Amino acid sequence: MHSYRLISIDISKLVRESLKSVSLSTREKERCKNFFSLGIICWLLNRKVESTVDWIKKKFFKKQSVAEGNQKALIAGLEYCESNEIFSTSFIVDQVDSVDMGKGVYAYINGSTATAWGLICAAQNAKKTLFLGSYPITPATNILQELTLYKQLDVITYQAEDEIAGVGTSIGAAFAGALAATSTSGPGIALKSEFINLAVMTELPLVVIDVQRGGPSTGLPTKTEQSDLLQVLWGRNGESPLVVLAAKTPSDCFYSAYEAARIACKYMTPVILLTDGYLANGSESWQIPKVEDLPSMITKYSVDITPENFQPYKRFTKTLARPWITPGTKNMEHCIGGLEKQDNGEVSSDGKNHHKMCNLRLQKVKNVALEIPFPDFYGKNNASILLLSWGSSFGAVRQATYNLIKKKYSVSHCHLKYLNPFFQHLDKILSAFKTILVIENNLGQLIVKIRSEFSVCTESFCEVRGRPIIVSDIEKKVKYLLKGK
Amino acid sequence: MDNLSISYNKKDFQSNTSIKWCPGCGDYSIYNAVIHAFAKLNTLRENFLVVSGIGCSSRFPYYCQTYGFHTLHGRAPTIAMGAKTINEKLSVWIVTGDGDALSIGGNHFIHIIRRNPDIKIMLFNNEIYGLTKGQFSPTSKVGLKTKTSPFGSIETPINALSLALIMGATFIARAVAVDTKHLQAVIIQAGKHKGIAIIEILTNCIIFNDDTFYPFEAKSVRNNNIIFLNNDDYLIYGKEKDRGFIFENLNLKTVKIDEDNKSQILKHNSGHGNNTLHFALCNLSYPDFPLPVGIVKQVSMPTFHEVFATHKAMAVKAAKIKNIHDLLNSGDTWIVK
Repeated sequence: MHSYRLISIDISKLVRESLKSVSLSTREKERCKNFFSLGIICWLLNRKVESTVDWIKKKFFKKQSVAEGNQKALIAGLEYCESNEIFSTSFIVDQVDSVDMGKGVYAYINGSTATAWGLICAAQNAKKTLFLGSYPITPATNILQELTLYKQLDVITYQAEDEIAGVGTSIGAAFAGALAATSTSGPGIALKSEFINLAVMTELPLVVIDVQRGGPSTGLPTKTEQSDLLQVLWGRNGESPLVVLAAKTPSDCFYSAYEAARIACKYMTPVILLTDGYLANGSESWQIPKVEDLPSMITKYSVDITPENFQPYKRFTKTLARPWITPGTKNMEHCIGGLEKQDNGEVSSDGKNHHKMCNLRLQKVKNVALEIPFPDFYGKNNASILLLSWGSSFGAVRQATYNLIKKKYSVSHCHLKYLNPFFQHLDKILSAFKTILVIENNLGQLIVKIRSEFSVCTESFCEVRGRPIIVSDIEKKVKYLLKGK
Repeated sequence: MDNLSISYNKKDFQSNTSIKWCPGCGDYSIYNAVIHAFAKLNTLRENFLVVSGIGCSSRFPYYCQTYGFHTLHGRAPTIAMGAKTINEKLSVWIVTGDGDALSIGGNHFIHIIRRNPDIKIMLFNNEIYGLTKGQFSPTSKVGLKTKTSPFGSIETPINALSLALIMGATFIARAVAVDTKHLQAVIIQAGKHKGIAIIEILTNCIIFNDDTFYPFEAKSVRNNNIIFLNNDDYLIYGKEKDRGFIFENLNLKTVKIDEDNKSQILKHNSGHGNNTLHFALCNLSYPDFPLPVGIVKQVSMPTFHEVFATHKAMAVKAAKIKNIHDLLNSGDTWIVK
């Protein structure tokens, strides 16, 4: 605690005294403590309290005495700081419009809502019904709850009997022509794995959202972690390639969910989107996009499919996607399933065919790399060290990079959104650096994949403390590595 | 149902895939009955979707010239539910077995029933694991010696119909595979029913559990061992139709019909809202009683998707957020100029 200044305030007592005249029970008065504390924070940050007072009035409209109690507690907290001068400093936080932001309409958004809205926009642009099969699990439940509100926007949510049924109904919905998704957290991914493999095998579009939490097993359900990467990459039987993306901020969950859906439909493949508890529950300001400006959703192909030329696993040469023909289409009746198939849809246990099909499914996923944009890169491409991150560690790593460059350290930062496949020229980016520090909220997972694909010199910064990685810890590690260089 | 102008025959529902069940397997009879029934259901062929799990029976979709999905062990109900939710026009049929539906898929089986979607489940019960070559199943009789129960199965078998009844199934029936005519009639009735339908089909595994249903299959004896349930008909059976059921001490009892008990002979009522008779019938087991076959229960209830549609209509009517623009601007927003 030596780097902190501790200021003790007996909030309970102060609240009791300031609410003497209010007709609330002692217990009810106790509950007003939060607003007293908020009053203190408002003073510290020089925030006006009018909007909070309005909110209290609206929220407790039916309970006037509760509204009065909370309002008084808020003001009491503020006045307590004002009159007692317990803090030597206060802070001014810039107003949003004085910061460098683009023109437009903004909103606060959290990661769960952003994920849900990204899926809705993707479905609208694809002119498809959005189907979410899901089972409640912390911290992913909010996505299910949010999407349940929008039946009028052609969104169907299905609260299944278990995790397996959540993904199963989604795959059934995808077969019938919906943009289908399932949302869960790490333990749910484990349960869904066999079904995710069925989507790999039947080559149906499916978005799987993994809001990661502390593991293994039940682990730390309410704490954040980035430890499902290896599970989603390699945690299924057989050769099971699929696309893996990770969102970096709460608002990026919107674009990442949209992108996951876009890739799923275009390539007829399951796509796993990794977010985590920190992103799901975190909020940030977000410029509201125009839906028509988002990338187009491809669900049909230039070639006309007719009963004469239709084969369930005959692929489009460019993407290697198979055609998405849904039940109800005349004269194209066919059967798909988990058994290996030939192009014409017939079951085949022929080794040669299996080898060909495994390679085609792999190549199809690899083809996605051709359209992956240059990663989010900050700094010089010849710095002494490259910080490499993915997912919600973005903010801390980028901030540490700013700070270090300011202090004249030779540091750059590369952040990966696409974890499988990688950006096609990632090797060129990485090979320019003598040292690469992979920073992640696990015990070293991305680093395993980096080392397996590239022969570069990597160091690891990893921890699983149930909280996001801290800027100053990254700085310390970088300074240590650069010592004497 | 689609009100067809064209008529199908069974060949329209036969795929080109060669069938790979063992010679003599009961599933061939079922296949015959099903494709016959499909042709008579007044439904466009492209609107049929046959979904299966894993097991001998679950090969079924490959043999039908319809849309099909051969899914995971026990999970067919989930795929079926997802597809039906997106396209209500589909006539969705689940093909499953005793292990598939009642062991590994037990959870999905009970939950799909209580939701009452307009989906039909044909449960091929052979009381054995056939595809994995002869282990006891959740419907195997106590004492059945198999590769994994050399001293006989210890476990009480699941009665699929009683379980379905408890879960609130709106259509419950049993048929014997070899009696294709009766089976076909039951399947057609199930197809016409609006809501979930469970048909338990007793099918002989000639390799690993041969003759387990002999008393219900052999023409020479079956009339004494089976009671055919027909709505509104008396519960009578036997070669001479001389035996019937009465209620005594809250239980079903069989009697030889005579002048004294004639008035007590029960009538079958599959549409009764009270389950008492249905439950008693489901629980009858051979050899103490003849085995009931036919439609045990058929009642009308709103389906999952009917109710869902009304909820959607309510949501559309009440919605403040009417389009994607409303949605994206529905939070606390501000403008940066």
